[in-house]
Amino acid sequence: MGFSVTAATAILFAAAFISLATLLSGYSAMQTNQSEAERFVYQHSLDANRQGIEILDVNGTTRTISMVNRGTIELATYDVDVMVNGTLRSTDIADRVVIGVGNTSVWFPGETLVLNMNCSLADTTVLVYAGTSACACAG
Amino acid sequence: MASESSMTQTIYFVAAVVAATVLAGTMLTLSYQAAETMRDGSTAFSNQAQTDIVIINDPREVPIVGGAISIYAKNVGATILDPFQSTVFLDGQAMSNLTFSNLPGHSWKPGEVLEIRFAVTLAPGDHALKVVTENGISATITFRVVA
Repeated sequence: MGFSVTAATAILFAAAFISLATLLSGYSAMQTNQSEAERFVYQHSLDANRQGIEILDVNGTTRTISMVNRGTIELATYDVDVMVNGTLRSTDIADRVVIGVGNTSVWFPGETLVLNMNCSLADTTVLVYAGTSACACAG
Repeated sequence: MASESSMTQTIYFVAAVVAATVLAGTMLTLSYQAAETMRDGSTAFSNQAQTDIVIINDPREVPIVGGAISIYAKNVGATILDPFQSTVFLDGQAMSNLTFSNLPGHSWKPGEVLEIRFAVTLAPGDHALKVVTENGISATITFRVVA
């Protein structure tokens, strides 16, 4: 009888130990996923509030769109999309130049970005979307 | 007599070990399922929280060419989406026969603009369009069709 109780108790203790370890690993994964999600949501909304652009000029002669970063964080020059007369024309962007810097992927606050377009900009409406929330229109 | 006692002891031992093993098995199965539920639930929550899309169309002029409307939706989240599992609602009605373009691959990666096209006949006036991703995150645009 004594040995039976000892064997059963040993099995139950081992199972309890493994169960606890399994539960802890699941809980740890849950905590990691939750904190990752919370960090993203916080950073995402912070970035969205800090982004802003303004179109300075749409020149039909030189086929250029000039815009300034009015936000407080940098934007990526390659993350700029252009709608001309409502149609997406991002593939018609021939060149992205930050004035005073040249070709760069980083567009800092206060800097002016000039897009050289391959499509006509005469008598058009233009909407530019940059980053995750910066948007401006002209025309 | 001694043999009988030994037999009883063996039966007790086997019964105790079997009962403990059954209990242990149940305990392990339940804890494994609970851990999996925690892991899967939090992964789904995390994916949903890190998903965000925005419709970047110019609401003044949504392109309708050859009876097909073009919607530009940008993935501004941190997750890779499956465009073919997206749903589009126009004025509350689910649209069918969607075609997707402007995709380098078959997935919709963060930062990429997806072009969704579908045939529609729109009456002049204001319309609301909603794009819903595979995990329920949506973006809406209201635009006007001028007569």
